[in-house]
Amino acid sequence: MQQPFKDLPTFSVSVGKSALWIILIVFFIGYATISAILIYHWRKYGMSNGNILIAESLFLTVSVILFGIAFFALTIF
Amino acid sequence: MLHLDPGEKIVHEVRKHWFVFFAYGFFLGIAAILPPILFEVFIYLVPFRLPTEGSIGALGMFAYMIWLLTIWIAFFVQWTNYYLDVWHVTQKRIIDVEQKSLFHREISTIRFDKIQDITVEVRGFLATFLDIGDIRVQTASENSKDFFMRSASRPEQVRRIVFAQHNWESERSRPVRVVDKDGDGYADQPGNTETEK
Repeated sequence: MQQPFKDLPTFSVSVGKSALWIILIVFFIGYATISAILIYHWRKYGMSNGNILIAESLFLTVSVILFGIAFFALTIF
Repeated sequence: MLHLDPGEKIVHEVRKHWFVFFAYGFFLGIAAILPPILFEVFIYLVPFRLPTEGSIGALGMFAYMIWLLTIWIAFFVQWTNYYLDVWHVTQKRIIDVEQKSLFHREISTIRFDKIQDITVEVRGFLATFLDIGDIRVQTASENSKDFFMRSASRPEQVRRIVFAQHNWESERSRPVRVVDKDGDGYADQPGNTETEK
């Protein structure tokens, strides 16, 4: 099957590696700020609930994995 | 942070039903898997070349991880608002913590002796099936507002627990008459009562 919009002009986007590193660093700063706010709420108002501890561990573990993959993707880019 | 009286313990916690949060989580789940699908459709429909340097796969993976992290944060912000919006039922009172947003909390308490009535309303098939309902605790005081929680989990059980605590507290603080045994006539006077505590 032919592309329905094949007659449109082709365009390309130039993405530099350093720009992607800056995006990652800025994103990490935002993430760290929100994480600090969340963890503050969980510890101050969570009444030491077991579910809060599980949530905190899950949040941080998955975040580390996702950041690790993003970091890896940038190194091989 | 909640401050309980010495010896006061939380006997029950009341939250909105998990299904209320599940609806939001489901929406985020859809949002998480949508970008790869949309990207495939987009590059099929529109002639698009990406990028001029580096690997397209690595760039796509990087962008997708950033997207997933954004959704992950949004999920936990919403979960925090859901989980910290709670009623703590203690032996003496109900503490209502209304978590409206991350930086907006309201905490109010009502002692059991100020409770006038508790109304539970379960509407609809799904609410009946999942045991979801609205709970309203009416207060006897004119100064304090009623406590209300929409879509609470197991509302009938909450009502039973609150009434049980209310009855226990009433029994505990019921006035008793002290009978004069030594004949000095003091304790027999009307109004000379003590309260068991």
